[in-house]
Formats: sequence, structure tokens, C-alpha cells
Amino acid sequence: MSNPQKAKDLIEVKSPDELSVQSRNAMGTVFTIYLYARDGGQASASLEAAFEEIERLEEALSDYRATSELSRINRLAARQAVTTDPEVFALLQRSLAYSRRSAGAFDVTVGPLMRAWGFFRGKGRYPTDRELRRARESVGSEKVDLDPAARTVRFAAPGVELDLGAIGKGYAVDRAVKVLREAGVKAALVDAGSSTLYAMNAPPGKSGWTVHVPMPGDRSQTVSTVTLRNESLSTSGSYEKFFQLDGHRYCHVMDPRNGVPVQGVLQATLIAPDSTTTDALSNAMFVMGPEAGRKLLATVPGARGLWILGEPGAQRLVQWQWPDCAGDGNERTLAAKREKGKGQKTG
Amino acid sequence: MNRREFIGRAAAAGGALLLAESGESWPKAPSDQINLGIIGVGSRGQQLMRTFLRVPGVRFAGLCDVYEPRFAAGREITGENTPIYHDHRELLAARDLDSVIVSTPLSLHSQHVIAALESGRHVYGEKSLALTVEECYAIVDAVKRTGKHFQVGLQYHYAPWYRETLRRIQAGKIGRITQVYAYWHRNNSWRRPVPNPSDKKLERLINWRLYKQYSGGLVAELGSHHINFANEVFGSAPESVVGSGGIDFWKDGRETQDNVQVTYRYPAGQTLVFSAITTNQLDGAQVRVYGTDGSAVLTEADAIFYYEPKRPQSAVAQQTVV
Repeated sequence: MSNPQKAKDLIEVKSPDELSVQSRNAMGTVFTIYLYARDGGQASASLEAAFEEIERLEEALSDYRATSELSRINRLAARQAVTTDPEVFALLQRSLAYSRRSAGAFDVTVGPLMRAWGFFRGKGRYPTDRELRRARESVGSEKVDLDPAARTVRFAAPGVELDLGAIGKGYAVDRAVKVLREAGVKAALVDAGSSTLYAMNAPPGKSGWTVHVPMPGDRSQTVSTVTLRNESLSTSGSYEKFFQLDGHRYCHVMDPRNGVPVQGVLQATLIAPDSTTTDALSNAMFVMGPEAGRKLLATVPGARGLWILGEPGAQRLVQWQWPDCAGDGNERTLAAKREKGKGQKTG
Repeated sequence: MNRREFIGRAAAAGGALLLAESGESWPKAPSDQINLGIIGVGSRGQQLMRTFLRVPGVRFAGLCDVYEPRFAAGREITGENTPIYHDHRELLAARDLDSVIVSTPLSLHSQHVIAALESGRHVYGEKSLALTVEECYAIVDAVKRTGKHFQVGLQYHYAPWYRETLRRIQAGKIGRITQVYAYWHRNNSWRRPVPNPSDKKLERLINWRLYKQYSGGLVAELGSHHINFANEVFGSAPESVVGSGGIDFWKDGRETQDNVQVTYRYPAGQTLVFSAITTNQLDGAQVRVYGTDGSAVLTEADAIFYYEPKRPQSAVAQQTVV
């Protein structure tokens, strides 16, 4: 989680603009909004409106809340075509488009596989062949039929379920930024759980928002420092969540294509113009790895990517158009800079 | 399903933010399309639009507002180039409307609801019914005169845990109901951002809830949901009320109070206590129904029943989640 106090210490505050910071729990994580407003009144009303928008989207997109629109779709769509509103429908269309573009590496139907591997209970276990086979029968974006004319969702197989956890937070960040822009806020940074953030404009007197990408496993160390202005950065990583079995280290990010957790990738970070894209495609980058991932990023305007590969203690870095690296496809052994607690962090 | 049946179901959907879960089998032929118009495309109106668009066959045929940015917001929700109107009379003159949503500031409800009813449309109107008693009676008269369906958008009244709670209460599961304590506690200014605050007209337009010319304040805007639910629990309307409140914290030029505490007395000797504050959110939005044999606590997500100690513990769970 970002540390508002540290951020405040490091960002120059010029009167009459003041930095306002507020954090709230939403979508299973902590959203933090940093903003420069005209005055305290504009700041508090804008923060409230932005968090209200995030809460609205949690109510629509949560797969934990029985009352959400997504839960209603999940309950009904295997039996009948379910009409949904244009916003949810468009996000589902976008999710399936990312699945196609990533050849299945990004997949909002991956839930049954996660459950088979025991990830929803916070642990991990090797599923039986039967469990794995049954789970895979319910996984795959091709099993979600969207009818744009009728605006309906229908599942082509029983057991299919939608989980927008790898795209919904990014979408909520984008929508919150839209609210802040409409409210006339001068500059803001909206951060979802330190994994997806958007830097709107720049703090007074600065060229952008300074963001540190931390080292996997040691957040006090910085892998890279970037300055963002009207861009999003998202990091997929699973260093903290993993389990070991028979000498293999399994992380909690699933490769939907083969039904096995990703191995050999510790962290993937993406910079792109919007947070819905970075949230979804940083996840795809993690699953695809740098070789295939770079081909995907080449199709995303303004994309810059950074992978950290290997095992703990033997990490190496691969980048694509990354701001503080020379050349493309540059691979090097990681020598992280020790820069504790500077600016906004992500990871 | 014909259009009359739709009105009942769609109204339930809007009020409770829930949809019926069976028989989504409306024919999709254009003749069965339901064309809605909306007067007032602000934050509440936008949420109603999203909810109604989850009903098969619903399409918005007209957006009406006096604030230009609302049209882009409304069209973003419909996903199409929906016709726009700056005057509700122009919207109501459109020939392809089946029903109308009224989600304007409270002081405009009666004008817009009555005009929509008299144009021959069914109406879903946001709560509260109207700002004055006379306006409320005028709406009732218009509904009777036109024979059109009209529903007030009270939150959660169709949520399954609310309906189940009412069923259990009416079945005597928590004994004789003597009190309802209802809270709407939040920790914010209740103020919405205004892009250009020096524009006083825009400030009053966007933050109409804070000005007596348009708003009934916290009791009308928040308490109305809880008061109507208490009326359902008690089976009658209250006969007397006392209350207090003030502008005690947010001294920012607003005219409506930032905290209220109101006590309603019902004919059978029952009491509703409603409290709305804007400086602490611990209790959130909840309703506590107290009976001689137990209690029901309703939140925005569920209802929990607690039973009084005199009920034999060996036979009945002391707590049930609905």
C-alpha cells in the first residue's frame, strides 16, 4: 500500500494548491487517491465523487457480492441469454478482445482453474487429473457468447464463471480519473492496491508523477523509477503468493492455456495510456513472458513493458521500450537501486 | 410479456437494483421494445438508466436535462446517439415513448411526474414523492385521473433480504414489533464537485440537495427509504413526529441540515427513530427492527436476525443471516 505521508514529504506543495490523500477499501484492495485541488472543498467533494464511482463499479463488477450485476450474469448465463447494461457489456467485450489478442493468456473465465489449484483458499495444492480436466471444461473465453445486437451474455458450457479481477480495478481507476477530470481537479494519481495506477497531469512544478517499480520480494528496493503524465502503470506479480511442491515453485498466477500456474516469471510491469489496458495486459505479459509478450506490446500504442524473470536471488530483467533502459530487448542481471520509500510505489 | 407487465417488473428492478431471475424470455422483436424517456440525467438518473438497461427490450428514446454535460454522460450509458431534450415538454411530445423516469430535484417532481402521467405515460419517479403535501396530493390525483402506473423509487424495498425479513416479521418470528431504529450515517459533506464554483447557479443546480428551495434535506433524501420501510413493518403511517437537527459541522453556505434526529410515533404505540449524520459512518445505512422476541438488522447487503434470551437456546439458533 502506498504511504501517503512519505508521498507528501516528497512532493513539493505550492499554495494555493494542496495535496490531498485518501485511501479506502474497495474491490478487495486499497484504493488511494492523491490529488491537487483548488481548495479543500473541491478536494473533498472530488475525492468523494471518485470513490463513489469506484464503489459503484464494485457493486456492478464484484464476483463476491451476490447483488452485483456480474454475479447475476454468473448465476443465469449458463441457462439463458442474460441482458446486461452497455457498460458491463462493453467491459466483457473488451475482456474477450484481450483474450483473443493474447491468445488466451488473459482470460476472465479462469476461476475454475484457480479453485482447482486451491488458490481461492489462500493456499495451493496440486489438483487431480479429474479436477483439472473438469476445470478446463469450464475455462476459455470462447465459452462466453456475447450478442451485441441484443446486448446479451450466454455461457456455452456449464460451470463457466466470469471473474473481472484482472481488469475491473483498472477500469475503476480509469472511471475515477474521468470523474476527477470532470470535477476540474488539476492533477491526481489514482492507485488501486499499488498494482495499477493512473497519473493524471502533473503535480505543480513537476513534469509528472514519480513512480517507483519495486523489486519482487523486497519492496524497499527499486527496480526502476519512471515519471508518468497522463499514463497508467500496472504491475502483475505474485512473489508474495506461491507454494512449493515436489521442488517446483508455483505462483498464484494461472496460465489459462495449459491450466498450470506460471513459472519463471516474477513480475511484469506495463505502462500504457489507460489503466484498463495496463491492468489486463500486465497480467497477459506475466503469463506470456517476454518473447511472446513483446509481440503483444508492439500492437499496443504507447506501451512500455518490463519483466523480471528467474528465481529469488537470480533475477534478470527484460524490457520493451522501457523509459530508463537503453535499446529494446535489453536483458541484464538485476542490480536494484536501494531507494527506500520515494514517491508513489507500485508493485 | 406485454408492456403493462413490464412496468411492474422494471419498476421493481429500478427500486431494488435487482432483476427478476427467471424467464428472461421477452421477445426481441422491435414491437416489444420498451422505449423509455428520462427527465433528469444526474447521478441518480444515470444509475437508474444502467439498471433499466439490464431489462430485455429496454431502450432509451430520449434524455432530458438542463445541464449540457449530462447528455454526453447519458449517451455514454445508452451506448448510442440517444435524442436529447432541454425541456421536459419537448421530451413528452415525442411519439415513441412508452414510459418516463423522473429523477429531477425534489421540488420539480410534481411538475414532471404529473406532466408525464398526463402525456399518457407510465412513470417511475425518484423519491421522495414531492416537496410539499399539496404537491403529493396533486400527484395522487393525477395517477387516479390518468389510470397510469406510477412508482416511487425507494431503495431496497424489493431486495430479497428485505422481503424475507418482512415475511418473517409478519409471521411473528421476532414477536411484537415495538421500535424501529434507522440510520443513514456517512462521513462526507454530501456535496458534489462543481467544475466552476464561482458559478453560483451551477453550484445550486449540482448541489440542489443542500438548498431548501429544491430539497427536503436529509430526512426527505435519505430518511424516506427507511420511513416507508418502517411504515410497512408497522402496517401504518406515523401520526406524529418530533425532531431536531442543525448545520453544525459543514458550515459551507448550505441551507439544509447536516445532521438530523427524528422520532415518529405510530398509532399502535410504536416508534421509529431516524438519524442521519455526515461526520461518522460507523453505522452506515441500516434499519434495526426490535421485537419482543428478537431483532432484525437490515443493511445494504443482508439482514441478520437476533433472538432474545427468553427464547429457548436449545431449540432455536440465536442468530440467523438472511
